[in-house]
Amino acid sequence: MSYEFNITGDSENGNEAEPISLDEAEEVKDIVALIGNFVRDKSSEGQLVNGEELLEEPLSVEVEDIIPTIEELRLREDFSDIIMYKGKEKIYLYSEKFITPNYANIMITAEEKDFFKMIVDTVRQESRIYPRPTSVNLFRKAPFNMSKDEFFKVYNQLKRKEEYEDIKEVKASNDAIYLYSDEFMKKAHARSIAEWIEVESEQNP
Amino acid sequence: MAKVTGWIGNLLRVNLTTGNITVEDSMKYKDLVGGAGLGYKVIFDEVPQGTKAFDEANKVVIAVGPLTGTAAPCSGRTNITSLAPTNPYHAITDSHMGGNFGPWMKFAGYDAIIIEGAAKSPVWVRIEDDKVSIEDAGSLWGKGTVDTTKAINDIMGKEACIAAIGQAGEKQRNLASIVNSVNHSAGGHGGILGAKNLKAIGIIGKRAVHLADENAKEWLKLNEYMMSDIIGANNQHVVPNTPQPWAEYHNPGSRWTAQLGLFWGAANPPVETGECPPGDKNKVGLRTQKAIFDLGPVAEERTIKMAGCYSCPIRCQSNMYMPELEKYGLTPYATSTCINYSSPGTAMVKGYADGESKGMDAMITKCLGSRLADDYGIWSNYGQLPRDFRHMYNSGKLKEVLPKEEYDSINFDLLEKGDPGWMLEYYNNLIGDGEFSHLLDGPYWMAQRWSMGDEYWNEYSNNIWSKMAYPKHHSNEAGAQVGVLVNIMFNRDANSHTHMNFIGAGLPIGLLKEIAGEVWGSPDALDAPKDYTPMNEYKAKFAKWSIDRNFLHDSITLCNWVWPMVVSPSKSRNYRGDTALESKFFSLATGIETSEEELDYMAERICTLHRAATIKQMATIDMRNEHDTIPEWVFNVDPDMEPFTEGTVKLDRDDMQLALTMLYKEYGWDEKTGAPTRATYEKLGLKDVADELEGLNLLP
Repeated sequence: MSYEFNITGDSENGNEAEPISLDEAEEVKDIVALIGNFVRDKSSEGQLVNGEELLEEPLSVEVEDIIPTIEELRLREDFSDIIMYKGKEKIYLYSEKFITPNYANIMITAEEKDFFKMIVDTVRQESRIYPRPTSVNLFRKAPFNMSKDEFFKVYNQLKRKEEYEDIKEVKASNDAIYLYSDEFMKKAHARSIAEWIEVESEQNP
Repeated sequence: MAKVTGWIGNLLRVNLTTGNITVEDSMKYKDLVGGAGLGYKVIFDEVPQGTKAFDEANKVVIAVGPLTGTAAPCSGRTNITSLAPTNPYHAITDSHMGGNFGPWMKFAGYDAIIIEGAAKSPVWVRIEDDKVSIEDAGSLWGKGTVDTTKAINDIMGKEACIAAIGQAGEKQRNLASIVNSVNHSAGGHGGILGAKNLKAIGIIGKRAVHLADENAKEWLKLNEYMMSDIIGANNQHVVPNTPQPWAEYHNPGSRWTAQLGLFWGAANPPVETGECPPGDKNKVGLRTQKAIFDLGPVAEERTIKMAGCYSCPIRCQSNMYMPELEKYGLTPYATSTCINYSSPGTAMVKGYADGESKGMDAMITKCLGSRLADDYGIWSNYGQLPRDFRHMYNSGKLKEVLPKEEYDSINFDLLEKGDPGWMLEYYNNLIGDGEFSHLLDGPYWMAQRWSMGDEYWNEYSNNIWSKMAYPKHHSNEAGAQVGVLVNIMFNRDANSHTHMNFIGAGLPIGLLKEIAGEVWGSPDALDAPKDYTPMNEYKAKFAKWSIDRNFLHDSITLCNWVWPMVVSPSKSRNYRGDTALESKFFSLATGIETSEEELDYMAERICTLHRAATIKQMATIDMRNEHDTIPEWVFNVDPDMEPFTEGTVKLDRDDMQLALTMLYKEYGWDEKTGAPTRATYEKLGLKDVADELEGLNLLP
């Protein structure tokens, strides 16, 4: 036995949805839940899901169904933790139960190799909220994962771009290099905090 | 009579002169909570004004509080109160040790042990529940704490906890420790046990520490709540020190070092710390991989495990596998934390042979040095001892004051080459009988003996806190005026972490200021690091609260290296902690329903009693000018910068005098002198203290 009912009807506007069977509805519901749980599982391991992964086994969503299915997922209260982010070329999904927006943003910019944005966003944010300058060594750690050479290649290009002219450099007395945004910190302040992190904090345990 | 819970209700008094051993009711000190509060009252009441630390009339009070032995998180500390030989006035101080001694004391049936008098020959005290005896220690005298502990454990059994002094204590050096379980040391009172011919105390007991009736379930719920939602890592740092998916924030200075791919590498099999987000109480113990924090990345593969004190989920003590130590005649292990690792490193004034500040040579040096310091029972004076050595050596003054023969006999080549073997030379000479050993006199007496000039006292990098002669400890670099006010209050380095734990928690300044506003009345209580503003009343409230909570923790007894819980790692709580947790645990343990405000009031009483004991010993009420002095470098640092400009910790003289006035006002003390008034003593239930001080003409 099958029943017919309307899951997306918008009768007030006269847009009648095509009636579908319960079996079909359960299928839709299942795939939404499957995707939601898949995203959560990956997020719990610290990984994003990109839209292309939904095409693959075991989800095997049809290309044309990806956007509607994600839209449906976003409407589901029990999956309100699932966040969708439209990147330059891909759609990314993650669960904010396991990954914060800031961390996801870094992962996405790293994935898309938008290194200018990755570095500048990080430096500006740290200068603004803590405030503190950012060690260049931070970009060698996860989720940035840049090699030293990669970083300095990007950094040397970044220094020549007008839109990033607020990003400045200071050194601690042990020659450790720190970056800060002069929109949010003065040079003397940035230098003194770098000195605290690198040298003075160890002398005041 | 109502059943006593939390506390035991007994105080053990051991008179080494007469051999009398008595048990008294400890509940007469109940309003002073225990620990430090109890110790201050005993010293105030029973030690005559003007007594010197090593005099027979001085007493040593080893005391803990109602939470010790209850399994409250981070309740393994033991407080020791006595006069301090390092202090110019031999004023009252506490020393503190972790490990097991305090809980073992409760299990044996005592809230406190008072040691008084002096034995004619070396002895040790054996405590097995209510069997207490004074034993001959002739065969132990001259041994280090390791051999002493082993010898007494052989007699009492391996489960006994042994607190001992090493050669530094025996020789009545000012910078001597009392060490329990061979690596948990309390600094500054070891020489007093030496003066009393008391080598060690061995203790074991079989009693329980009871909670108040029917509170067990509530206790477990409270414990669960704290472990899941509130507690962070060492120093109550509440964000990890690397970016992690679950964490909104990170801070490179955080002691929350746990992360994917980080191991206790010498465990078999190696244990990965992994990420340890809030909510999982079983991962709290993995959050602080302190070995890499103290010793650098090279320590990972040598870490057997993280250890620590009784009933503490924050495992801040690194157990290391160090086969390199066998070359120096030691077993291949080291166990320590924090300043006890960094202090030997500071004594390497020419750096390390491999050129790395956190390389293998540094790790060998720090492990070797910490082993020697604990075995000899040498106190680093919060790292001042090696800074004093550095000053003397680099200035050439050491060569001037040491006899030529002695100077030439010391193998400074090891130091110049950055060889870890310098540790043996350094510590062996400190514990020797030559002029070099007077580095252990501490700054005040050393400076007198060797005629140290202003360049010693006023140099910022020397860290000396005024002529009270202790080092700074989270002072103007930690919350501007707040840190300074915390540093003027004590008679040793301010072993107070309340303010620094909050400042260093790792959260953005906006969040911290919001929380500061909720706890101390205004966000203006807190400045951004190195971006200071002039003094205001909320900073005075923050300073007072920080000081009082430190006194509370040393009395109740909780670890002030983790407590209080002003913040939490819980995003769902918007990082708010729970400042009432101490009172909740206190109420459940003692059965005396006590609010946060009421417990803070008791802490204020303890602080004021400490002040009274200081005034009595210094024989002056002019605390502002004679005690609460501020070193020149607070006002002279960064000569090209003005106070209250971004990038400096420099402060202003007039502003700091205002800060003192505001702090005195918060305590209800005389605003001119900084001495408590009779009205304040009486309000706090200390009328007898006021009466005695009036008789000594020491009331304002």
